[in-house]
Amino acid sequence: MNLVELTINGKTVKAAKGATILQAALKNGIYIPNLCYDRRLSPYGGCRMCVVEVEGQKGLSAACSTQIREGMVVFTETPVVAKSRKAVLELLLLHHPLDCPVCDKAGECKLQDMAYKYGSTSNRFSASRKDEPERLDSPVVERNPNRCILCGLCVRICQDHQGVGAINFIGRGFKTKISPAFEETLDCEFCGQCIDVCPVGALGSKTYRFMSRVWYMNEEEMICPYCGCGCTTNLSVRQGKIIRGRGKEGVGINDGDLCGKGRYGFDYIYAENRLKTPMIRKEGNLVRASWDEALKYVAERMGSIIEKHGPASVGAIGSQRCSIEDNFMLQKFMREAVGTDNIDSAARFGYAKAHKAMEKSFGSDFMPIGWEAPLNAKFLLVIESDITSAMPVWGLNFILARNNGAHLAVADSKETKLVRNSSQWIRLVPGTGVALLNGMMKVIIDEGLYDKEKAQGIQNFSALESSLKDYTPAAVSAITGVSEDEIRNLAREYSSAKSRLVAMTSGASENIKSLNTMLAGANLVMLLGDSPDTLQIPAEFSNTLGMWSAGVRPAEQGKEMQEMLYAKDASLKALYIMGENPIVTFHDVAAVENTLKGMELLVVQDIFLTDTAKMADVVLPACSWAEKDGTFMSAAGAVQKIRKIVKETGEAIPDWEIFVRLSKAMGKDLGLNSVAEISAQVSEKLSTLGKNDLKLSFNPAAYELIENSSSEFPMLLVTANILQHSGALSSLSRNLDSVVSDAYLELSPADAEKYKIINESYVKVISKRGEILLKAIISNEVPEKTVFVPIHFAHAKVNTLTYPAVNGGIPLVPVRIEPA
Amino acid sequence: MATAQKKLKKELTINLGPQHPSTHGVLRLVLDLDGETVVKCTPHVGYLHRGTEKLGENSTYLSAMPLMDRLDYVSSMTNDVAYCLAVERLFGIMAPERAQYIRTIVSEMTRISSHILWLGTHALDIGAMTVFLYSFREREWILDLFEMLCGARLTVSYPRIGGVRNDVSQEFIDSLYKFTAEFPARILEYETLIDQNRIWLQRTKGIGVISAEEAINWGLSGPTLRGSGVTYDIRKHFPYDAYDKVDFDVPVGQHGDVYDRYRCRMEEMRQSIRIIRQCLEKLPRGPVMAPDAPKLTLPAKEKVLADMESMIHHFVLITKGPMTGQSGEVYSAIEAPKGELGIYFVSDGTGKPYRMRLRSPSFVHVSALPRLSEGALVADVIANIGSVDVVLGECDR
Amino acid sequence: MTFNELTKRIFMTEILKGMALTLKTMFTKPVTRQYPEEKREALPGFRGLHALVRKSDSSLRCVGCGLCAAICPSRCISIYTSEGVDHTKVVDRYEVEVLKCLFCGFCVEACPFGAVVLTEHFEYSDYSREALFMTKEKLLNNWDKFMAGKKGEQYFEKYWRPLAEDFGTPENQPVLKNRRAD
Repeated sequence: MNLVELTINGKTVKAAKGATILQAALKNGIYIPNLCYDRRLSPYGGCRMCVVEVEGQKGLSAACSTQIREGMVVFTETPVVAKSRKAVLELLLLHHPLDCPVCDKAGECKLQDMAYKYGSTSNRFSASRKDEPERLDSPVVERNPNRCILCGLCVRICQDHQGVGAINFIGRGFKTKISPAFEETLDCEFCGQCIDVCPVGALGSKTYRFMSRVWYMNEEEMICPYCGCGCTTNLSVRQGKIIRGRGKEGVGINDGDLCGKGRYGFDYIYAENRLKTPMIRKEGNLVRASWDEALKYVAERMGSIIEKHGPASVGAIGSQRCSIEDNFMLQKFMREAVGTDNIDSAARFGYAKAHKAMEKSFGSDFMPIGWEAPLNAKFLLVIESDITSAMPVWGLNFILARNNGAHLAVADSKETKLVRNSSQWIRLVPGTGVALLNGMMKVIIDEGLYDKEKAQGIQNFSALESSLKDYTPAAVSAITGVSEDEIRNLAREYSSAKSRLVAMTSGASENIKSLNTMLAGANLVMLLGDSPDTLQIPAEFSNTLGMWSAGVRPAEQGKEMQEMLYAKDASLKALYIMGENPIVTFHDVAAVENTLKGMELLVVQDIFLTDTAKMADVVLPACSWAEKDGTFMSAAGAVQKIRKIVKETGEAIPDWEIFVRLSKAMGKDLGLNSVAEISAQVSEKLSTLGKNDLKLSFNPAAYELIENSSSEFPMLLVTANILQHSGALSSLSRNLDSVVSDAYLELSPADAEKYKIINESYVKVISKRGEILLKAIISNEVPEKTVFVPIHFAHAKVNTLTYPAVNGGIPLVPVRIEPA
Repeated sequence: MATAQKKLKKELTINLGPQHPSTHGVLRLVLDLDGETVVKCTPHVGYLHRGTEKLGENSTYLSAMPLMDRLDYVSSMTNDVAYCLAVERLFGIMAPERAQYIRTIVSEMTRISSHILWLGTHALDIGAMTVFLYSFREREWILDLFEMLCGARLTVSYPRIGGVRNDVSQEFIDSLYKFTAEFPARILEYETLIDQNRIWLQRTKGIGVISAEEAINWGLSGPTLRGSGVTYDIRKHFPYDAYDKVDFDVPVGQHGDVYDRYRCRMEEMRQSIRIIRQCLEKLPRGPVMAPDAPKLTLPAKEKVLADMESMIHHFVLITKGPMTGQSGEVYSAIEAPKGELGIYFVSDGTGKPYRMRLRSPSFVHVSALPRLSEGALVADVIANIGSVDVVLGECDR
Repeated sequence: MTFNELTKRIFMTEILKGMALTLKTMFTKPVTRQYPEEKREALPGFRGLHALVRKSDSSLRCVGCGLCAAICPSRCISIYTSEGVDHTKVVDRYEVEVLKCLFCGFCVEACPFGAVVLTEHFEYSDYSREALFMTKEKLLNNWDKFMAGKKGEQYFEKYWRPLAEDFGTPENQPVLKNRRAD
């Protein structure tokens, strides 16, 4: 890196070439006041607080927008500078309303701090104060134009960094304010980044409105419980209750960026259906019981089943939301105290596919994503994934990469946020990503654009070559709906790019991708001679990777999820479910319900009384993520600590402790009694991860739909995540529910006309497995013959319609819609 | 034979305190006695530890002051003055002249009230009960004056950084003047009761003798030091507030025994009356809060809801404390009734002290108790405790 | 020992003098008050039990800005606010743990609105902790009981500090009458 040497306040400092004076100063520990600067944004020069004197230069320069030069001499605190800042503040405060007593920002307000540090103590002018109405009509975000100092940070973070552009300046002169277009109700993705950057109280969080003052609260750093990004969210705790989350500069892998879930989703732990005591089913009803009673009951029943049917008749489901320690104890308990290998989790429908693809293609057992990987590639190809909603903060790196000049090509059927921020949108038929990849490879091989030396040395190259013979551009074009030229150009541009990246998500709820899509992605990577880490498939939830690595998956003969829950013969007699809600989140609910009803013993250990818990014989209350110590492993492979920051709810105890007690009740001490002891064993286990040598091999992947649309069911149902929710967990957060609280069905205007469906009316969605009722939303984002449904809401029962993917086929659901 | 004698000569260890009425609080002395002679005296302190220093470091400069009232709770006003002076010196500001005079007046009133309390309890310890009753009569008068001044009798929280909370009223000035006229006669009454009393003399003369050199080496201060003939008084040597503008003498003793320390305090009360009278006569007109430090003192209430600058300064000062942005340290001491009360601040420029350390006279004086008491009789230990005038709130902090 | 000293010693002059003083005092008016039968009014401005100011329309003057809680050295004030029906800030709970309070009066000084006062009431001892846990309602009652009317009006003029006059030289600033300096 080229370094430039300059002098600031008599101190010689070095900074990277091209940096501004402000950046150079901040980097070297010299504070220059600023109100409109943000590390993530380009210089703006709006507030004029950062003015400095530069030797040899007339007048004052704005430090945030003046580049450094070799030998520059800068003074940041001279009388002239002080006078200028004083005047700026005097004018800013002139119109500011006197509402510090009711403003939630007071105490951490940048304007307050500046006015105290640099401002005058009296005002020489008099002017009328702003008197605009507050805007409280949108969920989560409140706007008070009177307090606004028009620094434009919110506008720029929303547009440039977040890629949304929901707000902008409106009006002129004195009446300028920040607002959505036409002063309508703010309707954006509600990430809340604008609230964090606002230096004053003009933008605030509605969920925090008038709840507290900053000096009442302690701030705790915690890992976000939702997606696999593993962001650090700073939670403010008042008197043992979490009331606010926010990002903080320099903290965590996210460096202060957060999505709506990380910022508002913490309140699911205050849901009304939190379990407070153990419960046992007596005479058909769940009744409260003491811990001793419940554990004794489980131990006895479990013991008798093992005795009668053998340990292989017991199964367990782990949780991607529980800590590594909890999952480690679950599998240890099952393997050592019970003696069964039937351990699996919901990741079987999601991350397991990615893992399997990686294992088959690269021979790797541990492939975390690279947090900065998107920034290092010149051509990014995203296959049927909205990374900005599945992994919102990691997704920002894709937008940043595009802003930095990389080519971002997104192949997707729906117009997602990532599509809107892409350089190229390849609009294909849902589920045909694998065909597109195959078509690209075909073109690459035919035109000899691949890395011949490397690719031909990889096992199965000829098999790949022959498997691709049906995927000619013409054939692929017919399947995907993408023109032949576009496929050819994409293949050529992609293969000729300097550095490349293929990315896709592996959500359990997504039915447009399957194992074959991921294998095809891996094939493309190997074909071009790229290293395996140019295929980026993140693990879905906060501890998916940790749970997977802790051993919650069958090791040898154990049954996988399909065999446990969907097999026709009921070989399982007892099922132990930890922190999972199969009745809602698993596909083909009817089949799952049937299996669960057939269990002799169903133990559910959860933090809520979920629909599954309502079916259980014994329900054990566990602690939520903020109520226990432990670790999460993010999708990037970072093991991060979670801490107990609030008191446990009722009699709940941490999941790991339940297993400690339960194993003792069964007369088998596992020998681990504290988080520290478990962690020691876990880290021993984790230390072997990713150490094996890679062994590359091509795996031909065909495009096939498991169920095809027919005249009876002409539409294809696409299930997926939406940005404001994550799994079924987030729907228990009141804050997030204020944004989206109900499932809906998105369909194209053409289909709406065809089936005579009015916007926001209810429609019946029918598949061969059942029917559900959803509110229809007509949207241009969705292609024809496709309906899009978010999966998160228990009451919508979307999974009544879906089914699990058995092999590499795409599990799209053919449906029919009718006005209700 | 020799061993047998050694066995017979067994020392008796007794606990004096922490719940003994004459230990002036919760002081615990472990005494090894040979007969009635003290062989060894070990003070145990800390029963009243409240972590004042740490509390101070976790409070802003503004809000930590009421904690100071609770150090030497019989002379809270001087503690507050010491605290405010230390902060003012750290910030480099000065209280206006009128506030300085008022602080001098109230400091001397505190000195009188502290000495009267000391006299009463000390005499009570030694066996003269009447003095106690008379002295409390005058103490009540002073406390009434405090109540008139600031609304509290004992824990006053009256001085402020950069001045005092409120101006004195005409009524207060008049009543105080009346007090200064009458109080010398009251001192004479106390002296009539005990000054020449043979029992008093026997209990105090030649007891707890400490030479000037030793007293200095032990770090004694205040009347306890001056009783040994050392003319050290911070009011004279490092004058603060209005002490350099008034005329007063520093009474000293000769022998360094309990009696001389008693005499020093009695004379000091007379000098205090002198100082108060001079201050009242010279009391200048002017502001009582520093008008030139708007970043460090709360703005006037009328302005807070009238202009944004004052509102912001009010908010920041209260929530974050007065911030100078400059690091520095200061040791500032005043002549408290008990001796040298020093406050040491290390500032990192934020609204809370990075380190706060209290140098309390009582702690030092307690440490000198073994020196005074070893070799003396048990009864003299009581006289010694009284004569060094300790308050455990200040000693244990 | 001189003759004079010897006579003093023999006739116990100093003790007799002292006893004469006590005898004389027996005929003066006693200074002790027979509390609780004999009560004494607290002087104006006494820092006693807390109260919350009621506005003329009988509503709470406090807006819940929390500055009193911020400056409180013993952290005995806790305020819980929420959003009211018309989206304004509503003080749901204003609680003072009187047993923790230092009675420094800083809350009064910190309050920008003059919404909290310390009344002159000092006889609030009780047998239970609950009785000394002041809720918003109790604090408002205290205002009605001890400060309503003229007393409350005068309170802020005198004891809500600092006022502008503290930073200047008001007219008729009190000094000692007939002093030499004038």
